[in-house]
Parts: sequence; C-alpha cells; structure tokens
Amino acid sequence: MADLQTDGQPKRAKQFYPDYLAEILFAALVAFQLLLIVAMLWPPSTGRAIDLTRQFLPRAEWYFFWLFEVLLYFPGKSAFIGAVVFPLVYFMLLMFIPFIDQGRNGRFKAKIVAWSLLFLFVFFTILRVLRDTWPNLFS
Amino acid sequence: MGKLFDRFDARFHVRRPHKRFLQRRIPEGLNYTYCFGGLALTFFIVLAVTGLMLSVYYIPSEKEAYRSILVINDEIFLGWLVRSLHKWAASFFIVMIILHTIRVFVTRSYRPPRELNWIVGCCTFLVAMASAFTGYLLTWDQRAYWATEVGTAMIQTIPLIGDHLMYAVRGSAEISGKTLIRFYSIHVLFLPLCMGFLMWMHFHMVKRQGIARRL
Repeated sequence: MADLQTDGQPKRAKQFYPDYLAEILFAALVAFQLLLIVAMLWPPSTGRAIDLTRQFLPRAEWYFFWLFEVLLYFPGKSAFIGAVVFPLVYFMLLMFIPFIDQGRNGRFKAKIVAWSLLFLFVFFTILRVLRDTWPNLFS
Repeated sequence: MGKLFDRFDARFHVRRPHKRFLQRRIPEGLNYTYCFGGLALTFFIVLAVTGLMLSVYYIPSEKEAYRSILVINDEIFLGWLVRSLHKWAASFFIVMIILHTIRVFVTRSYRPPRELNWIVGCCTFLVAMASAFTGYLLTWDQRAYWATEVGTAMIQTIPLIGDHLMYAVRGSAEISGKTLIRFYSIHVLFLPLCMGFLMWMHFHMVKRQGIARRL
C-alpha cells in the first residue's frame, strides 16, 4: 500500500492502527459505494408466482452455474458423480492444498491443483452462460 | 468522556488486550489485494444488516412469502433498495472470498502454522454457498422453486440414503411450505451462526499468527 512517510523522516514500522485500519476502511468504503451504485442501477426483478402447470427452465445464481453445467454431463444413474462426487472431490482438493504443498515439488503440485480448480470453475461457468445465451450453439 | 470510559473499562477491561491488538506491527510491502478478506467481511456485514431489515417484512409461509416479497419491493419505503443490496452483497461476498482465496494461494500464506486457517476459510466459502442456496428459495417464485428442485434433487442421487436425505432437507417429498420454513430457518439462524463462529476462528488466528509476509 502507499508509503505515507515524508522524505527525511525516520521510517516508522506500520501498525494495524491507524495505518492498516485506515487503508482497509477506505477500501471498504469504496467497495460499499460500488455496491450501492450496482444495487441502485440493477435491482432484482420479482419473479412469477409458482405455477406447477407451466414448464420452466431452472436457472441458478451465477455462482452455481458451474455445478448446473457439470450435472448435464452425468445423466441418469451417473448423476451421483456430477451431483455429489465431483463437488466433494473439488472441495476436498481445495481444502487440502496446504498439505499438497509439502515436500519436494510440493508448490508445483499445489499450483497445478489450485489453478485447475479455478479453471474448472471459470470454464464451466462460461459454458453455462453460453448455453443460456445461445442455446442453439450446443444443439 | 475519558472518565466515563475509564469507569466502563474498569469493569470490562477492553483497553489493554485491544491496545495490543491495535498496535501490532504489520509486515512491509502489503498491497491492496490484502484487503479482499476485509472487503468480504464488509459485504457480510451488509448482508447481515439488510437481512435483518428484510426479516421485519418477510413472511416465511407458503401462502404469504411471494406476496411479502412484492410488498417489500413495491410498497415498503426503499424496500427495493434493501432487497437489491442484499442480493448484490451476496454476489460481491462470494467474489471477494474467491479473490481472497486466490491472494492467499499466490502469496502462499496457507503454509504452517496457517493451514488450519485455510481450512476454516474453505468452510466459510462452503457456508456462504449454502446461505446463497437456501436464500434463493425464499423469494418463492417460479425461478426459486425450480432451482431448488434441481439443487435438492442432487442429494437424491446418493446411493441408499439419498431419498431419506432429500426428504430431510425438503421436509416433504416435494418442495413445499415445509421446505420454505426449513430453508428460512437455516438461512437466518443456523448458517449465520456457523458463519459467525467460523469468522471468529478465522480472525482469531489472523490476530494470533499475524499477517503472512509477502513471498
């Protein structure tokens, strides 16, 4: 973060208060302003009342897109893999990164795991967005 | 003011331990990516405050839920804004958790003795996702109903116990008013309590172990 020391003054070690706290509060204030602007510009719409006689294409929030997309590749009896095994393995790998990064080539292995997890999340999310936006692309 | 606080501090003893916390040294060379965790907390606070406001008008019943959302949106003063803030803060919260996780990974701040804090952070992410999932049903509209139908049906795929587990989550064979009240309770009581506890653990460890130096 920005060094606020004046030239010629002895350099003082940064403390949580007031240095770091002031900076983090500034960032929080900016983030809240951004949230407020977004919330005012794009308020959520109210959906239609539940009508079980009508067909409806389920749509999740963006952070579940990846999981909805993965489910498509495991139809029927293999649904267990997409619905339970895949997210479980995904989460376990994420959780055990500190233990993967141990010993020889530990950091390299951890990098492969971590960036693969991020890639899968982004890749399946983008696929879902494409599928929802241009359904003909995948037919 | 000083004397008043002295009388308060003589009973609560907040000054000394917090002085040690506030005056602790911060490693050199931290940049703004180190704010992502703090920003996640900011959005969590927004979620908690707006969630409390929404709970004043929201009615978690099969017949009233959808109507109460319409009332919040169209009739209550600034209700639409509070609802919008709650919805967007959830997205921002998850984005910040992801960015914070990437920062911690890149700076390798998960190394011992901080590996438990990494695990607690992962659990926080899981609880955040669960909160988002349970909150999604509360609008009680077509979109919410069918998304929850798909989401809860995933549990059914577990061999042997899948049907029983799905029934336990839904409270009935199909998504119904029982599911709504169950999700409402999980969303406003169980998960915020879990989140509060996890966050306390997370910040306690950051406080005790300090901020990891840059690579």
